[in-house]
Amino acid sequence: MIYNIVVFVDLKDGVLDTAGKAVSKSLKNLGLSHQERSVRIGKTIKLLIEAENDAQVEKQVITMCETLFANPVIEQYRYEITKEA
Amino acid sequence: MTVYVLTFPGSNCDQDAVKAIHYLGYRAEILWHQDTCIPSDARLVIVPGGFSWGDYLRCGAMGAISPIITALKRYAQDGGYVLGICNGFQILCEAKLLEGTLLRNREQDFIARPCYLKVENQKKPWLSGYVKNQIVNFPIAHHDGCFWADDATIERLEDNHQILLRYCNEEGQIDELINPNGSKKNIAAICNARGNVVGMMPHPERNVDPVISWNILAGSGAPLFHGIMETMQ
Repeated sequence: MIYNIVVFVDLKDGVLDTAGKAVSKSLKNLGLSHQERSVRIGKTIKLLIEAENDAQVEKQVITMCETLFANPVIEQYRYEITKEA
Repeated sequence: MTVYVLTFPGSNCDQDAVKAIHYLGYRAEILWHQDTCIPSDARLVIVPGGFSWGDYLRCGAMGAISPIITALKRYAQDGGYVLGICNGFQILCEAKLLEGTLLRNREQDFIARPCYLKVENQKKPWLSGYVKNQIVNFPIAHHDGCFWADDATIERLEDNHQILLRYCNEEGQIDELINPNGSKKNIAAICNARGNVVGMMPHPERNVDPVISWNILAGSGAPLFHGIMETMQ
């Protein structure tokens, strides 16, 4: 079975996000108001995995997240798994 | 006794490291990321600077899971000396051979300039050629050099004397103004708890041959390498 995987990787709370800070400044320059220090920039990773069942694919996704997609020192992750139509 | 310099796709400071080692009179050889062992005559392994895997995903993330780093972990476990410079520091943090991580510089800019650094202690064998509070100067050239770890880790690094160099000014003052990239506590170089693995963002190999050191504290990188090669523990 082919599964559609989407992984969202975000910075943990309390980790300095200099890119978010820069974007916040730019929003301000554009006159677009928002709460200061609230801009946080993450990343999305998409892939397809062939697996026998839901449990097997979830195990693989977690391993990918833990060993490569996210750095646990500064990042957290969540994922969405759907069956490819 | 040989210094082995690892190379990855995108490494560009490997030859600088080899040339510096040769200049100081030692043997240096290159290893490739697909190699699976560190030779037994290794006295030091250098993980050099550059843009391995284009800094894709995270700096050093893919280097950290390459076969040669798997071999490096065994070598470090056995007490072998490892020096990660710039991208090498990033790889060692990703590989969990060192604590913390390197974030994008505070001002978002790529910074390339000479940098004064204060020697925090005389951690053997790395800093045995210096004295405490000595000022050295190694250049920095990085986009993601902001050292970050949670407060508990920083406190532990401080208490265990694992912080080796801090960014400072010419007079040795350490403060936010002189901090080039936002690193916590101006940390420029650390070691692991055992003291055999070191990572630093500045480039000591670029201040070994006085010809390329801008005449600023010329040759102040040399004692670092002599310390490892000459000091037998």
